[in-house]
Amino acid sequence: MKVDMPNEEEIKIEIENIIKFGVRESESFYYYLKNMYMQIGIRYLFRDGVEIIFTILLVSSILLSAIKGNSIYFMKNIEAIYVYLFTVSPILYLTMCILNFINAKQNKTYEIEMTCKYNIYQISAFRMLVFSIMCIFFNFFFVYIVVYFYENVNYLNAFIISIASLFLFSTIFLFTMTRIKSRLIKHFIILGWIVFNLTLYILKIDFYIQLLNSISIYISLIVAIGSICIYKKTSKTYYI
Amino acid sequence: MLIMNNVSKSYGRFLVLENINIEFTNGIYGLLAPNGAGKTTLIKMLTTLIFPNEGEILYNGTDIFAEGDEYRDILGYLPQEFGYYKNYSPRKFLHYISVLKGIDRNKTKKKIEGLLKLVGLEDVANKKMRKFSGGMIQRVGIAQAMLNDPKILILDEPTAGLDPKERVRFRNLLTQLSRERIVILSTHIVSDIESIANEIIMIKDKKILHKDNLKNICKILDGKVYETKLDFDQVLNFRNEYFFLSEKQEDGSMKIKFISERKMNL
Repeated sequence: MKVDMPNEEEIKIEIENIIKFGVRESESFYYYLKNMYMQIGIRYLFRDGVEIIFTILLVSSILLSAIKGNSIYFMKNIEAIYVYLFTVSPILYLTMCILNFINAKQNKTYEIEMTCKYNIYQISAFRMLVFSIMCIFFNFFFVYIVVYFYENVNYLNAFIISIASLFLFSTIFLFTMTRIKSRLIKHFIILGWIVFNLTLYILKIDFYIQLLNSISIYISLIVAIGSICIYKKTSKTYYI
Repeated sequence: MLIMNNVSKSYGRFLVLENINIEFTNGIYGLLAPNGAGKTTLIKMLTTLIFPNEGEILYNGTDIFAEGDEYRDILGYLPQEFGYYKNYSPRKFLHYISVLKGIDRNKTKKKIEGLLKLVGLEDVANKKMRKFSGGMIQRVGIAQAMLNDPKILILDEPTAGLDPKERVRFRNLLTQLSRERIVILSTHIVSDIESIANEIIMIKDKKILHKDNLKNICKILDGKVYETKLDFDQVLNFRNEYFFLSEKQEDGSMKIKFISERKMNL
């Protein structure tokens, strides 16, 4: 059977139809988050709200009591306070993020929640974004309190160091959760941040303390902005 | 159509499944294998919970892992160990899962009420699940798997904890559901699937032993099914050697129905 060659107009319409039905429109990151929020709602995104509030109160009281309790130590080694801030800034974030995974594992709901359209990683990624914003505010006040106790500490420098630390860690955390398959390596990397920084801090490695003290605000700011950008990019990979 | 192409899975050096090739179309597939034969591993790959080391799994020609949420959107899954929030009622739990499944809010309420009725839990729909029996929890699990009218329904040991009456009801339910979807049902209890499965897939020694309809399976196994009584401590070794079809306690020993390729005099 002879088939007539379609004219230009018909070809154009056919191509448009194929694209319309065959190619999926990719949703922007913002719209994906918005749709997820609209679909799931605050009630289920933060269904463990009481535990989150309890975690915030617990972690902040531990971190603050460490600051106050160590005041004599910090008076003598004021430089070490930047290392302390760099180390502890992501701890609240880490605690809140891990809480969700522990809960799912404990209740054995992990498998079901992982096979739903919005799985536990996507919800966690959404929560992590919210947690990171909460942590910015937390760090803002936390550094303010630190500066209140130690007048020699430069507020802006301390705050930028804490934000750089928070987003550097968040990026490593997201990367580890999405790309690393070995559970042992995951734990090693996540805990490694704290262990590595604490070891340097406890051993009073002069080089490290000097490094964090000598970094100018501008470099810290570049690191902070850079890590925020990478964090945003990494969190997109969560939404599969 | 759901296809597993040359799929292998190992944990470290331990090979669990080797070179699995299966095609699933609409209907009920009974996945029959002894405990520890790799049933759950196979199911976890089909539900994207774990990745195969080799091979690919395609749904309508697309890799299920690449499809991500679009594949999960058409998936219903009941894991072997069904986890739930003890403080939630069935209604609240189903509502929570329906939200995660991205089901239209306007349809959710009607869907949940229908499923609660279907699994016989409407009277206890608002009671907290902490006091529920194993059978009742399993029924909540079955209901949550069906919430999104899945095109692929995967049930790992779904009849565990159900009483005989509930089993019959469950089988009837599956028969109704299987017309328009792929239902994969894993079990080690032959009676669960013998009357409803369109095809039976038997796994042994990391590979597919048989995949056929019941009639053909019976032909293949004709003269190869034996029954014996064993002491409890002999069962484990025996299980490693033979494919069990059923086992039950009787007079202080285990009565086992099994398949043997070798001719036996028992």
